[in-house]
Amino acid sequence: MKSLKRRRYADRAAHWVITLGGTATVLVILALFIFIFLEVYPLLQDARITKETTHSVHGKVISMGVDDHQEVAYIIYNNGVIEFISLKSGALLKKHHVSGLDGSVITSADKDHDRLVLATNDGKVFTISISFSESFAGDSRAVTPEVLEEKKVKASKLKAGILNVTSRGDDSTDVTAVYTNDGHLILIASETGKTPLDNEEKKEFQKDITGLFVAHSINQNTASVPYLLQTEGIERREKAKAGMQTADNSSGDLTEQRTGTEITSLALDLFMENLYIGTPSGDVFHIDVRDRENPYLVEKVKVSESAVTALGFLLGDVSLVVGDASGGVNVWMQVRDDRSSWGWALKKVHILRSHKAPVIAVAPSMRDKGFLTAATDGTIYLNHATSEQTLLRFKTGYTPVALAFSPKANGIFVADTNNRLFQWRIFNPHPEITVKTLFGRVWYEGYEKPEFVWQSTGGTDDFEPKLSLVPLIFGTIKGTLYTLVIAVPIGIFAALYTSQFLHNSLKIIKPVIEIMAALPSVILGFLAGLWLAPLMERMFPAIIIMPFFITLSIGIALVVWKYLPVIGKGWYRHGTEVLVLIPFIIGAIVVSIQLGGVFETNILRGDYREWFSRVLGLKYDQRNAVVVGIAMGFAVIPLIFTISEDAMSNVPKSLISASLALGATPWQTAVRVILPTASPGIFSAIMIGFGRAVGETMIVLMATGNTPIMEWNLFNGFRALSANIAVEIPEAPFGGTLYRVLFLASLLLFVTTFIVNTLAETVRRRMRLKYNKL
Amino acid sequence: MEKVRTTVPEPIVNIIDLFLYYGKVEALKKIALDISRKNITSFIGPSGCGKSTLIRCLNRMNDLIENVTIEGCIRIDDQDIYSPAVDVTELRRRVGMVFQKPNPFPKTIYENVIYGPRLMGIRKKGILDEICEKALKKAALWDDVKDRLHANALDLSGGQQQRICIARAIAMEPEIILLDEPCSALDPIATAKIEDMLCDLKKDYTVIIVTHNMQQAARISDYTGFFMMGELVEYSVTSEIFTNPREKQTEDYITGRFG
Repeated sequence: MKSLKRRRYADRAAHWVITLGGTATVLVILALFIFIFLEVYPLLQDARITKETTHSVHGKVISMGVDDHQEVAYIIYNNGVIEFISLKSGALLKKHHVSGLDGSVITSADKDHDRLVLATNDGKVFTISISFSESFAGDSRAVTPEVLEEKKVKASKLKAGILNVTSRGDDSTDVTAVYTNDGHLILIASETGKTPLDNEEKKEFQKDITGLFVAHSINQNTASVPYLLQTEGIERREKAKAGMQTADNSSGDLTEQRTGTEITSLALDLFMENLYIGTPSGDVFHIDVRDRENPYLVEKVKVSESAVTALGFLLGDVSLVVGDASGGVNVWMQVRDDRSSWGWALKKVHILRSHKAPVIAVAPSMRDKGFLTAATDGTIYLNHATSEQTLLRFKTGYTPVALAFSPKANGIFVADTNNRLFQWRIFNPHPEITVKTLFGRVWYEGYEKPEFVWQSTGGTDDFEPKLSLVPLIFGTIKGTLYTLVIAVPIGIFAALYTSQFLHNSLKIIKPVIEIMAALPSVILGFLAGLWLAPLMERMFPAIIIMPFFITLSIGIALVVWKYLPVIGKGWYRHGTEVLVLIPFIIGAIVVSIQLGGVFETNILRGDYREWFSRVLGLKYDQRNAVVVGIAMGFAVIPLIFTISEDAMSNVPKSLISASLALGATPWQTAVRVILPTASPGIFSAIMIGFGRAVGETMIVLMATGNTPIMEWNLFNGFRALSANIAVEIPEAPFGGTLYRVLFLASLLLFVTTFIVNTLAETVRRRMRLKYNKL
Repeated sequence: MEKVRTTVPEPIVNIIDLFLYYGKVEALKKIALDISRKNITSFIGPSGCGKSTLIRCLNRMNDLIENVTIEGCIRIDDQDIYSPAVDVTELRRRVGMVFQKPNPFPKTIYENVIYGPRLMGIRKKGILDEICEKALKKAALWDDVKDRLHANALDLSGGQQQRICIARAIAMEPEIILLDEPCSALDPIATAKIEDMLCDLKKDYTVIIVTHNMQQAARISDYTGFFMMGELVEYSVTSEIFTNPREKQTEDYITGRFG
């Protein structure tokens, strides 16, 4: 009675412990999945507005901006007044008057970070700089605005008012282009250089370049080739290109040819090299202003059916946002083009959501390739160029007059004709991530065509991370494939031989191979990367001929065995034939190494790398897929070997006997009975090997060059998802886009292994169902 | 005591002074007997007496076991089957075998039956179909399975599985069929079916059967050999052994005094 009771308790306890253990396992895996998913989830979230405030303004706003913390905003009115207001309280903190204005009215402004260029209705151009300094009193932060009036350009030739200005400048150079109300486009440049005597020398140019586009506007049907002044022709371009100084007096005449062509917008890049001009006919003129004295027209491109109404650069000043009168918003950039004699052509690379009214303003983000566009109907879109998505859409009641992005791209400022200033705080941490940018071809700045690129970090601040997972997935597939190509046949045939043919006394080989599985992969990776890869590079020709000689030596061994007199086989027992092969294979390897040089000299004409690139068009990297295949094979072969050997050994002896009793040879038995019967086990062996290869990190990390390229070439490297996580996670800022994308990569690996294992288990169960009646 | 060598008509197998050792253990001691063509010969005896070992010598299945040494000679159709010139697989084609436990392959019924012919390189479906049908008919299974030839053989009952194994052996058209306690795992009805079938088979084949079941030996066999401790105690026409055994040991065994 007592023992029965105890047994029942033990039973119940065991039941609970097992249930608990099983449930805990499932929960842990689920928790892992949820944790990873939570890290990834913000990538999928849309941008959202977290706060909206409204302030009032007093007059016509020309430009505005805000400090890093969105505490103080400045507003520049057309009468030269700069107001600083506290965004917390709405109080006016400071008022500044731009000096030297003398009653003239500001008509246009161009903003480049802190630097602002203001142009007036009577031809004056001012450059000012607005910065914010922070001071800490106790725990509270005080932001103090500062205005620095740098200079006033003497617009000597300018008598007319300015309609439109664009300007960029740095410590030594300053280039400004203005469009006047009498239809002239004037380039104003000043350069401070050092003379040989170390004196500063300031050169100033002022040049009317209206002719560059007027002449072309008359002749509309010319192809978009580098375009020059009609009067000067190629010769002048050559000179200009060669950097020669040419005295040019022709522009004065050309200004007289004005035929009513107007300019709607101007944009000069920060390199002060390329000036883009938008016209009402929907054209953009690209003028090269590298030579300040002799700018020339590079090309004219039809960018829209309607008038170009807004031009603006994205961060980095390479991509040009073009807004048109029909509301279209497109991003254009210079792309390599062999058909163009200049080598480049302006191409439309991204199309964004259209407004329903003319686009009037473009404001770039200072963080990424995001930008704001505003249309006359009061709609404001937050776009991201590379990912081609419109993240936010909202509306002011009246036509916007000025648009600004906060420096950290987390706030949007819009002033409208109703004298109101809107501030929206936005939450938009991962604007560049969409399914398309992760898994599709993306046309990045500076690329010839849309491509799959992984390049998470770069040298400059305006570098755009390129986070396509496709090259990494490709790398994982490539590594896994080459590994399995090596490991599956070796593993399975070794298992077949060991289980069916090898003499019992030699079965010690199985535990030895199992020890191989316990070898830390970092050691395998180390050996592969630092020993095998250089060795293989040195002996590559020998390795190419090795399979041939090994096959030949096995053939010879078979012949010798056949004709060996019975006495010579005296020591031999069934299942030890393999030992006979060993000297032959070693011999073949030695011969291959000896002949490698001869082979390289005679057949590969001296240098195999050169021959590879010339004949096969392939590149040979020292750390390549073959090295990885071999090293990972070492990690995977023991798995496949052990599991399939077990499966094969477990094939009932009665089946083997049945087959042999029917006159089958051992080999026929192996192929027709052992392999099919053991197939569920062999299948799971391959799947487990696959799982190991997909997730393997250290070996691929150390034995490949980790170059995220997409080529099947056996002899170059790749970067696998797992290795990529290991390489980049220490450098990924916590919570940043890269950080989350790396988590996405791990989620991908997790899901892949999960799916593969589930699939494998299902298939294995089905197969087992067929065989389990044995 | 010198044993009398029993003569049989038309001997197909001559076993001459056969000794067999597992390592150092003597398992068969100087076995000498002849087996008559197209008759059923049964070997009886207590467990471990060497009867299974003996029939496994006839198709050299003992080769698979390590440390087996054989002395003496076995001739089938006057050819020494242990001579180096003999191709073992060829021998096994001529001497088919059915095991104690049904062991069909985990394949379809059809694939099981034509396994042997396939190995010999017969590819034509028509011929294979014909072989399959003929073998299944001889194994008295055709009517049971003709509609489900492509069902898994493992789905059949034990008796049917054993008959599949017999059909599989027959499909090779062997001269001799060895059966190692083929009915020990079967119920009486399945056993009866197999016994009927074996009686039909002897028209075409020489059948050698090892059995524990003395009634079975008495019912179906023409000649019976009684083994004990690795020795052939008595070998003669079945009716004689069961009605008038020469040896005391035989009599004790068949009357159930031991064993």
